[in-house]
Amino acid sequence: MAGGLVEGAVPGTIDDRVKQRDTTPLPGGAWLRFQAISRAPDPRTNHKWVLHDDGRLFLAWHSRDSEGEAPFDTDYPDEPTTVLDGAVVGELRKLVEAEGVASSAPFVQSPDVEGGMWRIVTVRGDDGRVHEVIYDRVKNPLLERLQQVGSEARW
Amino acid sequence: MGAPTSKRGAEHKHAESRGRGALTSDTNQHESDDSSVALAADGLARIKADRKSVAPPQVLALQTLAGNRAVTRLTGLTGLAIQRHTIDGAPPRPAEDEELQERAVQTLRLQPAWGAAPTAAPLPLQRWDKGVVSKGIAPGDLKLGKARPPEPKWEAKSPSVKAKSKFDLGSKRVALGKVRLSKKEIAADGASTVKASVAGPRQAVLWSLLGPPGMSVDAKTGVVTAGVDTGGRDFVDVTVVANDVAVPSVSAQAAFRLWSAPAWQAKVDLNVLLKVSKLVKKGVSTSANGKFDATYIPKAKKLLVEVPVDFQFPDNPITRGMSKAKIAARRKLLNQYRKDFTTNVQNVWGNQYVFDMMREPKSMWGVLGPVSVNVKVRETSKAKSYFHVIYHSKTEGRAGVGRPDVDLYKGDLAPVEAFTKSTRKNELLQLKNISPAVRVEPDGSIGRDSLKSLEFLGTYVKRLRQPPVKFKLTGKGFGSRDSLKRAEVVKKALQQFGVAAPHTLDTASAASLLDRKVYIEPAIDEGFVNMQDVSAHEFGHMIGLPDEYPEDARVVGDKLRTYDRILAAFGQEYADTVGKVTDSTASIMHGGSQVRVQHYVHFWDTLIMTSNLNAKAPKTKFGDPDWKIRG
Repeated sequence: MAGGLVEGAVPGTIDDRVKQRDTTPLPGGAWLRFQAISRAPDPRTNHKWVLHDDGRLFLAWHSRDSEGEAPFDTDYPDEPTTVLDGAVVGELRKLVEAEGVASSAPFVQSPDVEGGMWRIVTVRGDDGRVHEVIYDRVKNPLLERLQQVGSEARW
Repeated sequence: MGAPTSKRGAEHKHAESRGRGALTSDTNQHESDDSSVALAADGLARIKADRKSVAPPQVLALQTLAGNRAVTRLTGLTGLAIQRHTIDGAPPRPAEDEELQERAVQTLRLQPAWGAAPTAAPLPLQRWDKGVVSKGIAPGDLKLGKARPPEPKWEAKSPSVKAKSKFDLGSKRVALGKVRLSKKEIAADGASTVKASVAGPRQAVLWSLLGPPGMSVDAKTGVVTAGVDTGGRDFVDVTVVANDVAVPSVSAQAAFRLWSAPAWQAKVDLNVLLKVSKLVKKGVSTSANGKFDATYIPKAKKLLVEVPVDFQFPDNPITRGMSKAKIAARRKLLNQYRKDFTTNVQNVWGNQYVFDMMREPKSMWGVLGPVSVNVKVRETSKAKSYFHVIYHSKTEGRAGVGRPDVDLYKGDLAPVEAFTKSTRKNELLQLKNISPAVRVEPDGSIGRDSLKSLEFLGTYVKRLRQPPVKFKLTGKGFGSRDSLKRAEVVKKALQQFGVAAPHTLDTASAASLLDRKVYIEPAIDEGFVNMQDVSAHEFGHMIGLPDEYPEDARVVGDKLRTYDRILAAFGQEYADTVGKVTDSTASIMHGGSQVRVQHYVHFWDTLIMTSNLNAKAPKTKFGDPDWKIRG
């Protein structure tokens, strides 16, 4: 990957679409939220999901019908989109831990990448604290896997 | 006839000072030679019998051969009066001779040998040595009114001396061998020379030439020195004429090519360039992500852009334990991915625009163009590739390029419909921004500024290709006829600027004198569907192009990093229109699939760079103005 990673506070000049990300408190029983927002204007691959401790996953995928600034145009469903196997949940917990999300700077960027996505990971730690990290064009095994989970849940 | 020895009288020295000494170098030797007188008499008699071939060189030659006074004494014998006048102490000429000579000093309206327009001013013929033909031969027959061997004018279609390769002179048969030239072509650099010689036994000849002004020939040695003028042409053919000294009507000639200095340099450079099979530059880096190999093949007029890649399929691994059938099926699938990516990218990016060579003289350098661009995705090993094309076939997401990784996601290998609504809206907005209100004068003329704006609109629409554009032209004047006439004028102008789109005309009343304009309202074809081509878009990054959409602090109107190169290639107005961040367009580096002319700027840079790779040519390295992107 070109260049290195830049970490720090969320820049004030960050894109408006990221400013419109889901920053609502994690629902009770939920420990992980993943949001993917395309840097390109095309919002069709934008999506977000919330994963509960018991494996219930609530996915909200962009409708594909709108062309606008809002990164998301659908709400989470009332019913879980899918229920992940316990092993998968365990795998995700390990990946989150390995990546050090809970202790990461809130903004991590790979500035030389062109295109790509903002991927925002929000986790509730063992101590109950919620931490959000915005990964801008960053590529790592955690993000690849989280994105894959959303795609698999969709279909 | 042997070659004359070199003894020079006072008059010859004087003549020499005018650069013509060689022509009279043996006069003294023959002045008292009776046999020479007889020979001269015989020669003159023959000349008289063959008047058409009589020319000053013949007279001169006789003077040379027998001595001027001897020739003069022969007047009564031959009916020709050839009076020798030396410059110093020349006797007064008879009045009739003076008159006749003036008639002989005629002017010729000469025609360029290569078909250009005749020279405007007739060239006065020059006299030399005041040799006069007084009787027997009409002045018109002498073509040139000088007694020296003729200096044929370079513009003349043929030498004024009728070429004869043989001549019987009494018992002697005079013949000239073939004229040989040391070079077949030289540069008009004011210094290059060509040595002319006559093949066969050594013979005394006098050299002259048909060439452009500024050239010179040493009449004795046959050394021709180039001038610097070719009359504005890349080359002219210069004829070197050898006249036998004894029988000047016997002549032979040969031609060589005189090249203008720029054309000569072009010729030299082209010769080197076109012999080179290819000029290769590996690892052309155009941005943090852009990298490719370039091969310029001058003779084939090709620029080959190769991107070495390896493919990775994390979602479709071939693992141990898989059945052979499953492995075969997976390999087939992966090969299809490879093929789809490669074919799509090569088709989308290759052969979209060509480069023309603009260096002067274009008649020479133009042979290098048009250069087309072949784009090739070359699969190689992971260690040798510039990019890992990673296809996440089961994951949806937005592709990105961070060299060496190119991440593509499900659905990225083929164009899909997207952004049609916003693309139409923004393309239209862009067109409206550059569509002028055109003031048409009562006489049907369009002001310079409006014309310039129309030309730019025409250029922009031509380059746009997609989406399809049409215009409604509303003429505002006093009365529908007047209004329609104005609209027609603008329609015609647009068509002249290459916009053949269907135009509809409308009329309206002008609110005031100043409102008598034609308003241009562009429209995007309703059937337009924007197709987004993600894999080809990412390839744009792989060759160094930036995204054209706004993101983060980068807003509409900010310059792209390619702005300066677009400016250099297409000028300010075009750079300001397409070299900046925009809202949705059909451009491939935005949200569409159109490779637009500005997307070839890195190929343009690469062509300039690779065409300079040969250390020997061109002498003056190519720069921006030399290669032009056509479009």
